[in-house]
Amino acid sequence: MKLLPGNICFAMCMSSGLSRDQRARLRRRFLGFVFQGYNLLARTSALENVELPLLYRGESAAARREAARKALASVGLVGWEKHTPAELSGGQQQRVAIARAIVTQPAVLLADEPTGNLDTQRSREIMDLLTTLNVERGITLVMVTHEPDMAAYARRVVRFVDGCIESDQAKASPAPAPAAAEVA
Amino acid sequence: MLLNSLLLALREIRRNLLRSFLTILGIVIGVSAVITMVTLGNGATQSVQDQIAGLGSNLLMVRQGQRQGPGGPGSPAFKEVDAEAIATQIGGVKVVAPEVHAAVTVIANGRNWTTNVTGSTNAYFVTNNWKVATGRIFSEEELQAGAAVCLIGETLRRELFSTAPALGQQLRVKQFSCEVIGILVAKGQGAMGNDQDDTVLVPLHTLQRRVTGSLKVSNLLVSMQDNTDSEHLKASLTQLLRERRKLATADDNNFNILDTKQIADTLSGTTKIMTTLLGAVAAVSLLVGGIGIMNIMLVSVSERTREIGVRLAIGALEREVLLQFLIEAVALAALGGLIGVVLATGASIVLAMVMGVPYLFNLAINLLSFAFSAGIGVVFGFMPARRAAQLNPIEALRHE
Repeated sequence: MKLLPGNICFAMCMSSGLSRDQRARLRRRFLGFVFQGYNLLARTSALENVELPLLYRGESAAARREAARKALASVGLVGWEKHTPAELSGGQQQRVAIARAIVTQPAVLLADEPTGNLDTQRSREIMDLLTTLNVERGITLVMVTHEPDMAAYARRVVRFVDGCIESDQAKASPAPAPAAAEVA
Repeated sequence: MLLNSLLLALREIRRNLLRSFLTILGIVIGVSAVITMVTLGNGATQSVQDQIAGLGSNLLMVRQGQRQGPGGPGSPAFKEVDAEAIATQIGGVKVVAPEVHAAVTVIANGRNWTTNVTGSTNAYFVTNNWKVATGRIFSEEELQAGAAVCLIGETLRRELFSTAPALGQQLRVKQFSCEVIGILVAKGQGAMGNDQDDTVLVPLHTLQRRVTGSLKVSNLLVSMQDNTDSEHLKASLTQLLRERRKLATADDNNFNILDTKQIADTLSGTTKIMTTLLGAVAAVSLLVGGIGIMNIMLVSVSERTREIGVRLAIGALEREVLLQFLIEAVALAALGGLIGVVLATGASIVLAMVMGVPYLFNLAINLLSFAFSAGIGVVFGFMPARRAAQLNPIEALRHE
């Protein structure tokens, strides 16, 4: 089955009608990204990595530093600000990546297998962190995962098989939890 | 944003210190070569002009004979009255010095030295830019009477008297002794490589009566007033001399007029052309340096594809990525330019010393080379920067 070009409706904009720069502004304003491979800038401190999105928003150096410190604190990395990715464990790197994604206070966090490179213990910690962000800050989380354990955190699970939607289940859960897309 | 980009760029340069250094080496060499060549060229031009100025400024040298060389046979010598006639009858003339030369051996202080004796008037100090270091110039009585007095050049003073006082001593010139009444300020090497300070100056009448034994004058040195049209003056000078020498309309001039300004222009024109040529050759190496920067920036872009992907994903605009890489290229090139300027200053000072030309700091060429190197950064950084900015963020993130 071949992937077909489509259209995404987001923040009252149709993605197909937007220019590259308009899409970039949309990402900058509303979206946060978390990747499986962290994608932190090498040889750059955790703090500077988290500051990066704010740089493109044109915020002052002092404001950037302050916001980045707070974001790192909220993912539990106080005292690790000066460390470069090479000096951090996988779980810590993913926390830095999450801090980078939420430092701009996005409406939606897109997570592409955020726990794919982590062991079970670290995975749980990351999922708990993401759930907390969802609950406490009201950030919508859209996550792609292969792991049913991680998908279980979600309120709504959409299952894809070979690019086709197989099922779409909304779970009645006592506590609000992030949405997830599970790829089988 | 601009400041941020600059800081980012500097961090990137520091991150790959060795590579950055090798990248800008071409620019460093190019800039320092251009500046050094031009600075030394200007120094050489200056030194030529200084030597010509030593001949006398705004000077016309009137010599007998048709060609520029020793007076040909049959052409009558000048007389002292010719000099007076020129001074009184032609406008725009400051002074006229009649001049007679003789090569003689002089003796003083128990040593002897072969030198050139010049007989002239006090006008000679003006026409040939001679200044008196110690002592005085000739008095009117000494000039009229042909008194046994002389001024000597620095070389002669050194060779004959070394540390002993020269003023008031007797100098033996051929059969007569004359008193040293003055020492001339050293002028150094002349335009033709001769030592101008190896000279003795005596009153014209003294030389005519006691050495050459005739009333002939070999050259007339005409010093023009400032801002005088030398062509016009030369024309009236030619006309006057033709009349005085009773030449028929059909006759060729049996004298020639040498304009030192022309010699100066010709010589300094030659060195200026050399300077331009050398500078142009050096500029080519700047261009090669620019290509080196483009090469490394392209490598850097493909190496940092994922980084660019991350930046685009978190909302960097195309032009922001473009700016980042462009500024990086410009910062590299400008840094190279800066190092080049510093290096060139050192090299110019040392080489100027070795070559014996004056070191003249030329602000224009330093600024120009620096600006040009930064411009090279813009030109050769643009293509790699645009390539980075136009990356597809999704593909860039997948890039291994």
